[in-house]
This record gives sequence, structure tokens and C-alpha cells, in this order.
Amino acid sequence: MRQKHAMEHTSLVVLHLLSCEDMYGYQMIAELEKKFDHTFSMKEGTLYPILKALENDGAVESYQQETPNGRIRKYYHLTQYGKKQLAEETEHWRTYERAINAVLSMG
Amino acid sequence: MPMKQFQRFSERVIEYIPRATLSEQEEITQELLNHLEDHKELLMEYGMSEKEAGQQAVDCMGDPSEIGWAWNNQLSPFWLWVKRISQTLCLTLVLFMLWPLGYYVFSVYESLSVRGSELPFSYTSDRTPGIFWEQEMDIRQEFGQHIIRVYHVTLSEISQPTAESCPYFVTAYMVSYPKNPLHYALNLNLFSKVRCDGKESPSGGGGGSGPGYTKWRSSFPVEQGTDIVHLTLDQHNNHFSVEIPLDWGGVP
Repeated sequence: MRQKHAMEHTSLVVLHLLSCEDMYGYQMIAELEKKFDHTFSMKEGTLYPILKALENDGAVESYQQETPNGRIRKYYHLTQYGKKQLAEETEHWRTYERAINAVLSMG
Repeated sequence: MPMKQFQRFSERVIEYIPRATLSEQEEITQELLNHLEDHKELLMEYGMSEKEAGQQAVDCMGDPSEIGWAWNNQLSPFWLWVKRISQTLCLTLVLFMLWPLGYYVFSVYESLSVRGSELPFSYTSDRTPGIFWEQEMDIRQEFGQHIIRVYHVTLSEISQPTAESCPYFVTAYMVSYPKNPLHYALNLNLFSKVRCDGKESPSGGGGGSGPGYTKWRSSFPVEQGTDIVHLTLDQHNNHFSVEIPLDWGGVP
């Protein structure tokens, strides 16, 4: 159960990151580490199947861009559908969070 | 060198993504290598050696099989099935083309083997019951585009003769094969056409054939004491004729 929710939360977090700007894979990992102050841990390689799943859903799309040092990087961009998904999932998460907090605050 | 490590890691991930086409595999490999390079460079900025940074970058990626399987599940199985069906069809086509060749090679092998100095007389199904005399022989004659060879003769006694039937039978074991071993043997149905002293076989005969030869036995009633029987065979202006001496010394 913990692993399933962790994967779903990761998708939500990835959508949120991409709502700020287009990013490539390692950039997202670095941002996550910075934002969560190293408390959010995931095996980095598992990010890519999540990105592929979001791409299959139409929530993100990818494109390639050459870096200054000549490498070809794959960037991810949040689509309109992705923005809509992000808003809905954020609302669901907030509702869920409120419900959990309510239960935990009961005696 | 970290690059070799990174490539090995990518290859291990790819092993678990059978659904990926070749171009998808290249894309995945490139993305993983870029990630590892980026992480390694960052760690080196923090003061790690290239080797240590490379190892840590790989360690942070996680289990290649877990990454691979999760990635595989996001890809369509369509091209994997296309690949499998194509491979099966290719294999079927190759077998279909090789089968006649294999059959032909087997035919040549059979045709050559029945020309050998001795033919095995070890098949129990070949043996008529009640044999009291037998003789290996090697009488060969041309018969059109084939050779007929008599390789074994027996005398036998049937166990329950009737008043009308003759108790003794002579059985000739024969084989025909094409003169040219590179040709297939024709099934000439010769066993029913063999005559002994001008008479047909009352029981016909029996035998078997392969692509390179036809083998059969023909049995005929024979009076006790007959010294020689005359086997003949005629078909399509081809004539076969041999004399077989008999030995009654072992008659029960």
C-alpha cells in the first residue's frame, strides 16, 4: 500500500514540477531533492516509467533539445490535459489529506 | 570507467523491456545515460572522484529489473507480437524450404544404403513363421531405370496345412532401387507381379518403401524336394528373371 501511494504521489509531484517549467529527467530529481530538503526519496530510475505513463495518458509530451555541450536531452512539457489533471488530482489530494488529518486528530 | 558502467546499467534495464522497438531502446538508453552523466557531474562538483561519482550515480538509479519491467508495462505489446509472429513465420518458411532438401538427402542415403554388401534381415516382422532353411544372397538385375535385388530366401512350413494347401513355402526377399542414386525410387507395386515358376503368389506379399527404395517379400507354395525355383517379373517391357536354388536338408 505504501509503494502504490508513493507512485501515485510521485505522478502528482511530477505534474506540479512541470507546471512551473519544462524539465528533463535529472532536473526533476534535483528539484525534488531541493524542494523536499532530501526527505522525499525515490530510486531515480523509477521516474522514467512514471513519465512514460503520463505521456501515454496525454498529460505530458516530450521533445528533444541539444544542450550547449552537444548532448541531446529529452525534455517534458505539461499539456493542457495535464494541467487539468494536475488541478483535479491536487483537489483530490487536499480532500484526502483533510480526511486523514481529521481521523488522526480524533482521540 | 563510468561510461562503461553506465552502458552496462542501461543494457540491463533494456533486457527487461522486450516490448521496446530498436528505436525505443536507443531512446531509453540515451535518456538513462544522460541522467547518469548529469548526476555524475554534479557529484564531481561536490568533490567526488569520477569513479566514485559514477558508482554513486548508478547506485541511486535503483534496480534495473524494476525500472525495466515498469517501463515495459508502459509500452504497447503490438510490435513485440509482430516480432514474434514474424520470427515464427520465418522459421516455418525455412523449415518448409529445408524439408524437401532433407527428404531428398534422405532418399539418396537410403538408395545408397540398399546397395551395400549386406542387407539386414533382422526385422521380426519380415520373417515368415516356420522357417527351416534360409540363405543370404545377392542377385541383382536391371529393371528399366531400377535395379532389383534378391537378398534373402527362406523355406518355411505352415503350421496347419489343409488337404488342398501345400505345406511348404519359398519366400524371396527383394528390394528395388533407382540406378541413379540421385533419383527418387518409383513405387512400381512390383511385389504383386513377381511369379514363381509362372505362378502368382497366393498371399501376395508385403513390404515397405522409402524415398530411395522399395522392399518386399513374395511367398509361393513349393513342392518338397524342388531344387530350383524360377522367379520372374514383367512390367512395361522390362523383364526380371532369376533362378534360386533351394536346400531341403533342414525340412522337419
